[in-house]
Amino acid sequence: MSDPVTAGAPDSGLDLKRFFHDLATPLSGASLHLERASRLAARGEDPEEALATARRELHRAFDLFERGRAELLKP
Amino acid sequence: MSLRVLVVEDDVAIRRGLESALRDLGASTKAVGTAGEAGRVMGEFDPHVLVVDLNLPDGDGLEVFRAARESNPERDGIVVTGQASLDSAVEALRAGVSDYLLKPLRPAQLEVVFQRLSARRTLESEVDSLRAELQETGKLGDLIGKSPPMVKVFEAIRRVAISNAPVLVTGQSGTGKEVVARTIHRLSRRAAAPFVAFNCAAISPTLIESELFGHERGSFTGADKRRVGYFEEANGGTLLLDEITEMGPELQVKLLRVLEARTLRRVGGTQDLRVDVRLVSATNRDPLEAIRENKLREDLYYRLNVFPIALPPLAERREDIALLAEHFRKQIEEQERAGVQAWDPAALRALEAYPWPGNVRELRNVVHRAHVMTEGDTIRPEVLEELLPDAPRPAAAASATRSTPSRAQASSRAAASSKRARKRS
Repeated sequence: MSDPVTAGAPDSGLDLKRFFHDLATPLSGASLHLERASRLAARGEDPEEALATARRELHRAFDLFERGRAELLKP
Repeated sequence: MSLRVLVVEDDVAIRRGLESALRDLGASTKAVGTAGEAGRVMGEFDPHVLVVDLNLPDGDGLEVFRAARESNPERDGIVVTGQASLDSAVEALRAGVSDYLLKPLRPAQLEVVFQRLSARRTLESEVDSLRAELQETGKLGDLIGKSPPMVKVFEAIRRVAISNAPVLVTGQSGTGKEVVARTIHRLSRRAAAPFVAFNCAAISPTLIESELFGHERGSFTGADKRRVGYFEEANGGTLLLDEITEMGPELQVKLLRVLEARTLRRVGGTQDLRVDVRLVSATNRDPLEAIRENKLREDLYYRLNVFPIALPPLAERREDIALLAEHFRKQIEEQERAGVQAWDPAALRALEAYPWPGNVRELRNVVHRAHVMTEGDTIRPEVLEELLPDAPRPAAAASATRSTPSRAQASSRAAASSKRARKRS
């Protein structure tokens, strides 16, 4: 089954897959902890720690994104 | 029961996020970061479900799941991966995992997968406990029997309950067709939704359509407000259409359309409404004969008869009679509290010898009347002689009971009965 993003770019296909995989990990963390923060807030509990983790994961994702982008744009 | 879930994920943020989400969904959780740790906690934590990342620093997540299944094949698995491929999905499903979640994870998706798995395990555990109950007592829900024809019926019910297939239950009057429909509903995923029973012969043909499909206000004389029909009432659950061959031919066409389109229109309505109903139909007639007599449309028959269940008459399962009689005695005794605790063996033999044209319903009525008429704590054959006048009796029972009760016996019975009535009030 061809990946719609990598289709048509056979040379960079493998790198893109890795790029997506690397990004998917912190994005999962961010998504789970944002949801957790929302549940905690709904219960009247402190969501700060969950929000801090979500922010850290988002930073990690941006960092990985920039590094991946630089890697992909290399001549 | 709270499910024990072991999370095996090397990324700390995801691991903690999964653990917290699963705990909020009612699971009791443990989370580890490596295949090695998973192996170490497996025995002590004994998880029902594993949520495993495919790529672990010290091994393959699928191997962790396979090892967990080897020690307990009942374990379920949810695989989490950031590297989706058809091969890995196929391999995971072959290993027996229930679901496959792709990163980035969406909490709502995790919730759906977990709730589905949890509902399935609850249903399986109910089916297991009913199966155990059946082996021990000859009961499946409210159905009773250990005879070979009933064991076949129970097996059919268990198979069909977990599907959504329409069922056609056939059998003489009083064999328990509605009880079968209720048991199918109870064992199905729809058990928490409504079970609605509708007897097509009990309603005048002109009213059946509005009873089944509902009507809008003003759709006919007397329709002073909107009414939801039985189909809508049963939405999400099960609808029993009893005596299906008594439904008029025009309505049979409409029913066929509803079953095919899964939508209905209320009488006088302009909107098609989507309905999700599992249909169980029942008839005491031979459906093929009803088709020949133009009482049942052939196309509707094929639509209804996806899974047929034929209930045997009571006379064809005589070995169940004593079991049923005792079940009814206990049930009635629980309501009446009259101190009737047992059967005289000769009375049971008399029941077993009777032809039971009215089937289980007739047996229940006879047991109820025998219970009311019994003096003391044991139902004796003399009582049954009055209730089953034409019954062929085994010699032992007959010799003790052939004479009609004397006036003195009858009056003493009446006195005992009124004494008991006073005691109950």
